[in-house]
Amino acid sequence: MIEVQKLNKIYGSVHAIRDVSFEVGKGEILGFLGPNGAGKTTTMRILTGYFPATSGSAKVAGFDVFNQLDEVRRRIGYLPEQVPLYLDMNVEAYIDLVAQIKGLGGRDRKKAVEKVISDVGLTSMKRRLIKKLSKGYRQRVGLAQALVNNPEVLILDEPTVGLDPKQIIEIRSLVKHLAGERTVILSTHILPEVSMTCDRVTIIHQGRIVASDTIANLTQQNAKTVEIALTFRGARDRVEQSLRGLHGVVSVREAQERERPRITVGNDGASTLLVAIPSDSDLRGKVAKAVTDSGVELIDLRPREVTLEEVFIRAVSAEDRHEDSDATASTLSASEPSQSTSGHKEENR
Amino acid sequence: MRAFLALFKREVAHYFTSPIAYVVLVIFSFLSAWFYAIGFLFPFSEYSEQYPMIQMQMRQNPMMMGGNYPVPNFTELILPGFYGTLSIVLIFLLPLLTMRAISEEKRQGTIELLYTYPLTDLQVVLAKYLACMVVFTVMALLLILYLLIPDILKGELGGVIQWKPALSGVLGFYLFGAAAIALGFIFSAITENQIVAAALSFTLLLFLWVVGWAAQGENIPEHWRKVAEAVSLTNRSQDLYKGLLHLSDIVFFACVVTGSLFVTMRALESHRWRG
Repeated sequence: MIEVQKLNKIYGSVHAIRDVSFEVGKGEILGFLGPNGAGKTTTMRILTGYFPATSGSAKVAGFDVFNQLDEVRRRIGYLPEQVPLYLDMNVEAYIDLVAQIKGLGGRDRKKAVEKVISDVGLTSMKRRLIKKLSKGYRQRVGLAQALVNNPEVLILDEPTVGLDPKQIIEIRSLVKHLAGERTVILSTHILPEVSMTCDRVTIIHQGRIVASDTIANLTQQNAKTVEIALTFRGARDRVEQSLRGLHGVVSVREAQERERPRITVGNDGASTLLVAIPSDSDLRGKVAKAVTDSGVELIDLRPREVTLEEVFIRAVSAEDRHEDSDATASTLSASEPSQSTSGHKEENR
Repeated sequence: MRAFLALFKREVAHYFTSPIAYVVLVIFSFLSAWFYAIGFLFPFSEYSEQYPMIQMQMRQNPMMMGGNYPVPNFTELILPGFYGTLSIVLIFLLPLLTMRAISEEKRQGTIELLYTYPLTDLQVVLAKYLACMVVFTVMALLLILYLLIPDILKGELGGVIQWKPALSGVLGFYLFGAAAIALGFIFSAITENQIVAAALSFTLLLFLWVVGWAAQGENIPEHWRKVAEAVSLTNRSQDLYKGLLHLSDIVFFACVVTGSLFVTMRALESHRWRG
């Protein structure tokens, strides 16, 4: 449904996105993940035809965003990060205006407006002026204007930024519910949001795609080996030795701080080892036995789940090392100063 | 077309749901009424600036006298000055109407959605321009109201209206305003700041007025004088105010309008390459 090939966008001396390529299939929800200033908004703006890319090509619903922009615009619903709305209008009048601009007419328009207002849960607010609405309700109005022409593709730029926790949950479930058959791209810098709403993730950092896969694959749920986190008190070398001797164990390593399981009852003097074992054979019992046999106190044993956070940090830091010599790296993160700073302000309020 | 009409209606409504259109209309009504009162209703009162001139003209041209009762030819004596004064008023007022036309959308970010809707830049600019012209048309209609008063009173005020030259003046006033609004749109499109937009368009309009004075200067080379005369918006409208319809003047104003709107569109489009 969306095909992006080697997109580049250069603003003056700032190379905002480099060779960005990805695809989104029909009906998929793609999470576009990256820190502020990574190039998420830039990519989305290219897809919506807000501005053209410096090079590369992009297709939405089979139409080229450079040559067939009008066709593309008819098929997408876009919610920009700042949720710009005409504050002096009431909800219904505003949605009706957008419906007309998007070319809906007559009875269809009336029905579409009514339906979308009830879909986003604004029926009781439809006569309110938009400027009197809370941020959460404005976000719903923003979603309604994107959805009113029943677009095939929905592009949402940080739809939960600046909302309170309750509103965030509401908007997330709304997005998931309204997605239906639509293809959705949703950008965010909040990791749990992706795991909750999206099928696939594309991680973008400093203008480059650093990882792109299903959440299951990225978090290694389908991997050939699984890691078991063992936490115990006692001599580590002995445990390590006996585990290495165990048939079937692929690797043993010490856990880094962030990889340790969170144990709320006392964790003093405990160390954690990560043992990789094949996922098709259950060695847990043998592993536990090997540990206790080596004379230490086993206090915790659990399969370690790779969180998206780790995937993200790994992808991003690998890229950072790779980029260290690149002089432009530092300027890249400033590629969207207005969005990222104002986004932060919203959150801090 | 549906999209264009929807946008146009919204823009007109926007002018009238905010105080700006009312403020401009009230100021214009007040000032125009004041100059009207001075020029038309009390042409012979001691407050009238035209007093000595009218007296002189009447002495030279007895045709303006009707028996013992002086019936001055309003259309010739007073209207050009009245229209001229009002076009100076426009120089101050119209930037208030145009300043936020596009800059407000840029500041609030709503322009981002307009850019991503199935709309062309031409539709956006024209919808906004014509909406602004609706407000200005209300101002121009007020002038016709002023012209009707002496006509209804049939010379009881001491003068009558000759409709053809009087309406030519209204046309001149309308063209002057249409050009001033179009010029103001350029500045509204190049900045996010309404004050900056208003200040710049005010400065340009003021310049296009005072440059006309250069046309009267004696020490100015002939070719510069011609240029000054040709580009001054106020000079260009003078003949229309007097009831002289020159095609060149009408074409001039039409060119200013289309040229300015074209530049406005290019300025809107510039975000695509400026990023």
